[in-house]
Amino acid sequence: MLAAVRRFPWLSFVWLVGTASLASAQEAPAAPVITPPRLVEFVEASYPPTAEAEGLEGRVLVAITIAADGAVTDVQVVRPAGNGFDEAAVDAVRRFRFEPARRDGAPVPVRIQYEYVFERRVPEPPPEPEVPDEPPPPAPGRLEGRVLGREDGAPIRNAEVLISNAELGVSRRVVAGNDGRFAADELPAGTYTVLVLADEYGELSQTEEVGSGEVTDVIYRLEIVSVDDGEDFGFGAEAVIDPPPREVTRRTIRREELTRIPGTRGDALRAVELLPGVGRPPFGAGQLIVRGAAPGDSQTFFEGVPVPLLYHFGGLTSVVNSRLLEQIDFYPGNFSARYGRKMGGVLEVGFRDPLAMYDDRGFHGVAEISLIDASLLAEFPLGDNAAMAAAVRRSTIDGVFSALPEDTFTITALPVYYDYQGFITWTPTPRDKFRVLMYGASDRFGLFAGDSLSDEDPSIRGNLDLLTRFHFLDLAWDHTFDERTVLDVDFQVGTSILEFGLGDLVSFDARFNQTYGRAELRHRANDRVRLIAGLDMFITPLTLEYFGPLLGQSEGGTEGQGLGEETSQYFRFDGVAYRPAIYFESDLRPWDWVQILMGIRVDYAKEIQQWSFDPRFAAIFTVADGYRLKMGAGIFSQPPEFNESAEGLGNPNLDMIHSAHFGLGTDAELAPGIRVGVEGFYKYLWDRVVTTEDGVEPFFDNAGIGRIYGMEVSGRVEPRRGRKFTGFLSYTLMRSERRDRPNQEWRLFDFDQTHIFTLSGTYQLPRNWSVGGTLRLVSGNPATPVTGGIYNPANGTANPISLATNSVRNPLFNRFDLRIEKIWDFESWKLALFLDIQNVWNADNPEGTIYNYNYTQSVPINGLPFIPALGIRGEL
Amino acid sequence: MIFLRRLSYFLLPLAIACGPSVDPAWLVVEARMTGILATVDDAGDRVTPRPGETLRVQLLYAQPDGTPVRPSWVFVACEPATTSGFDFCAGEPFTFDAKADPDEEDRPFTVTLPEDYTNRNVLFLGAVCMNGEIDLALASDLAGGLDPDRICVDGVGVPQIFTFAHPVAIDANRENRAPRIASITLGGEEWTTEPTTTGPCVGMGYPELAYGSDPVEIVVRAREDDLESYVRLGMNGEPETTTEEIYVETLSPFRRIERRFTFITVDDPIADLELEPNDEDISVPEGGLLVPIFFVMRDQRGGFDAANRAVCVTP
Repeated sequence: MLAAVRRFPWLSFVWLVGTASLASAQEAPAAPVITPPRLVEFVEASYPPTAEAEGLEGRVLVAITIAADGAVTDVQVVRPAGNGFDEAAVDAVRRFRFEPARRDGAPVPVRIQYEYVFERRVPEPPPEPEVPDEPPPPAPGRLEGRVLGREDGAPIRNAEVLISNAELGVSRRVVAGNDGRFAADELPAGTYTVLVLADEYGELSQTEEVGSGEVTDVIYRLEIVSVDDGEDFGFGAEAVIDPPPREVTRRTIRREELTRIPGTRGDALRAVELLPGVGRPPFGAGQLIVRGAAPGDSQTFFEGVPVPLLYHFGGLTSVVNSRLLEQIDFYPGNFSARYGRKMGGVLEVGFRDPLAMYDDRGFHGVAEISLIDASLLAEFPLGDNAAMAAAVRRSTIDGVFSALPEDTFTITALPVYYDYQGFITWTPTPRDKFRVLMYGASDRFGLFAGDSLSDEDPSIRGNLDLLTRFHFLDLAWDHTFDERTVLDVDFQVGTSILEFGLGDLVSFDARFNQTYGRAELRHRANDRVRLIAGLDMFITPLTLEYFGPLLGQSEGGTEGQGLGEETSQYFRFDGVAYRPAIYFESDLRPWDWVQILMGIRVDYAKEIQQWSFDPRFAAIFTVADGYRLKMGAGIFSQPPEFNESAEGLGNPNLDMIHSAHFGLGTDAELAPGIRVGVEGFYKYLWDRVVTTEDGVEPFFDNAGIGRIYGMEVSGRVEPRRGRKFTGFLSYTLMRSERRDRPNQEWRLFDFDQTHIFTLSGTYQLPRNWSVGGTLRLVSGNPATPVTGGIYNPANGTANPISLATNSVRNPLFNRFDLRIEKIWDFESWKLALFLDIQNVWNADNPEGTIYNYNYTQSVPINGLPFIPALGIRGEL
Repeated sequence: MIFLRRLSYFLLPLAIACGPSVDPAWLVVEARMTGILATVDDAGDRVTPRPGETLRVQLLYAQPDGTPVRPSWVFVACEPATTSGFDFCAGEPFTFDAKADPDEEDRPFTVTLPEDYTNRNVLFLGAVCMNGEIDLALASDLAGGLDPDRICVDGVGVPQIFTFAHPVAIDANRENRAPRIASITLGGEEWTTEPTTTGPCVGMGYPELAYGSDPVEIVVRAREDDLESYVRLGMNGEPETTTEEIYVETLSPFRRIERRFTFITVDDPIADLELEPNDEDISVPEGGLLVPIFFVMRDQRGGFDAANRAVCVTP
């Protein structure tokens, strides 16, 4: 819903002529002839998104200093309106252009007051000027033409053409179409200044004569001075107005950056691994390791709804097409009471509206193919108030496997993955928005081996099957009651399946029929108090069927039961997991420079019949313009995994796992889109689920504790119009430790990484080329040294004799990734060719150790080598 | 999960294919344990003891020249605890035995099960020093923290800690006969020569293979009735009748083995693999190099058999 702004003439003005002074009354000199400044170019401000969404209006009174040449040199807010209006108004007014004030004909600097109005109605046309008693004006003329690129002659879509004549009081703005054509009618005859603005092409200024009753036809050719991919950044002004924060730390990757970061192969979710506080999983596996927390302690949400899996085949590529995403919000800790049942971090993935990145409401599509997969994406309107986007993707790596000689094994199911997303948004009224989202993914691989595939273990044979699959339907409704109250309702149903089988010794089959619902009501009582109440419900009838050896703790665990009929047990659980929660939050702003967030979340887990009460607190202080100090503390609770609490396989009397988060930090916006931040954190964990002493029944208890502390430094250069370089820097210094039993010593967490350094940047070159690189330096993961093996002569295998858990560390990880992309921009479509190379210098990066059959020899296992990924993308 | 670590044995070799590697598991580079032979007193071929019966367990070894290993050992037998971790004794061991002198002729260790024994398995824990004298005091400390390097006195010999669970015939379904290696052929010919000598071997009756020659097929057969039927816990939690699957482990100190474990099943009644040329360039003496090949057969229910053969690799 667009909102209009109106301009009001200045209410008063004061001139600042320092040398002039009023003469004494006795001298009574002739009064100077004062001509006030005249606005010749008005700039429409961007309506702040949050205010727009909440239906707010505002009036901002500013004082403008106008230099003698008519340029605006200073803007000060005299009477603020808040809600982002001030910043938007200042930004727009700074770009006003005036005919300067004159004193006796000489231009002079002045200061005036100006009221900028943000209101939700079509502006009233200015009053008709009085027609002087003069001869009828001459017939108007027309200025038309085309805007083309100088190098390739291609039309430049959406170029802005500003046509002005101060004497005639004409200021017109037209936009070139897809074919680069523009036209302005009804122009009084005269000489005009024409200013052409076009994204990466910079600007061009020309003077044109328009004759009475004539058509002036022109062609403007622009050179490229900065490049982006032609996408509209979505923010005309440089001030990006974030919605009011509800967390101490939120790191956002926006649409413009999502598919560009080198080393991620265009996968947006991979970009999260490069953020401060995020650990590096070995072999690029898709595990989210947040501030020293186990992967299972963090959760990814799609539009507020938890998703079971994030990556295909454990990390190959994410399950969602990155081009459908608006942004990714990452909360490494101290997150809002809106999120629960996890105590690590939260990753919130937001889908953009269909067609949101295009200026027209026609059909658009993208086709992409690489050595790993192929995808199609299409989006199109459904009437005036609705639009749809759909994407499908399928792997292409199965072609490689089908070419392998099947000597010792037979492939029964090629490694195939696919995923799909489809959603429709519908805004039947200005106060309602509906969204239907369907998405799903599948991974499948199978082979059969008559003889053992391994020379270390004879049981690795038979059918080896892996299947993961989920399908979800999500319905969302956002309703704005009035400018103060908003309701969000989300409901999801779906199924997910996880199957794994290894011969006739191990079988795991888990099926969830998931139902998730959430309702959140946000009410702004006044300018300083906002209240939020929410309810979410997670109900899952599930079936778990497991056949195999008893399971121990997954993190920090040591070798245990081997495979074999004697160690295999059967377990089945049929039941319903029922996990409701309610939460409340208050957002208080007692003064303009301080925001206090207080929340409470109450959860229940039926499978263990446990409640949790999690208070949360955050405070954000704006100590200076663009500088913030923030702090937070809170309790975060998480139920055990289903296999840990299921009777027979685990312990149904387990308690919830808890952690306390503390954070203190500061961030600053040094310039528009250039941000830096420093944050310290401490987390304490208790009631961790660990294997019982010697692994005896009930197999698990809550005896474990943990502590995590560290510091994060971040810096970002965000995409902006005309900016050639974007990038970020992140560094984390951290220690993550666990203690599994009271009689044991503290040990390092499996993925403790003391230093995590990432430097990434992309530079736009002329002719639609871009080049970027990402450097990562990360401490090696801890490892448990092995001094020998315990041999089992009954089956020919061995188990390691381990020293203290995680008492040594792998070498430093270092990797440089490179991405080069070239885009060809045609009249109605684009073609992109990209090369994404991981590990350019082919560093070994040992990830672990492999041993011989009885653990008397060892060699390092190197990480992923030099991997080039070449791809081609067509975009309509 | 543990089985994912086991699975990595299959996947990780793909990752290290281009880098350094450890010795293959079939390669005998020094003295090593290879298996056991279990017998039950007065029970014929049955290898699973009933409560009150006496079980004798003979450890099997191999070393590169095929000569007998001189072991010294200690072991305990006890009832295993139910655990998700390493095997350990549920209570006090009911048998302790040791053989301290490596030059003394090797013997099986013996355990007599209590009459009221009800566990499905009996657990053996022990340590052996091959070709050396075992430090009885240290080796007896089998409750965690054991350093294998301290097992042999003065570090002389090859140490190995071992543990295994042997099935107990607490009901008729768990009674099991040992399989037997019925025949071994090499290149289609019956292969009976055992490594009874060392040194030059050309013209001494061993099958002769030229160094670097083409792969030769080995086929191991069990007796026709060795694949016994029994009832086990099915993957759906219900008892199911199934047939044993026997596997043959093949070890070699020199000539390359195609794969260490080969299965004999109802659908594939022979264990066949290839004896392949070596990867490295090694000089073979003029009189030939005697290469012992070790076979251990297991039926995965406590039944074992073993056989040694030899070939003469010529220059």
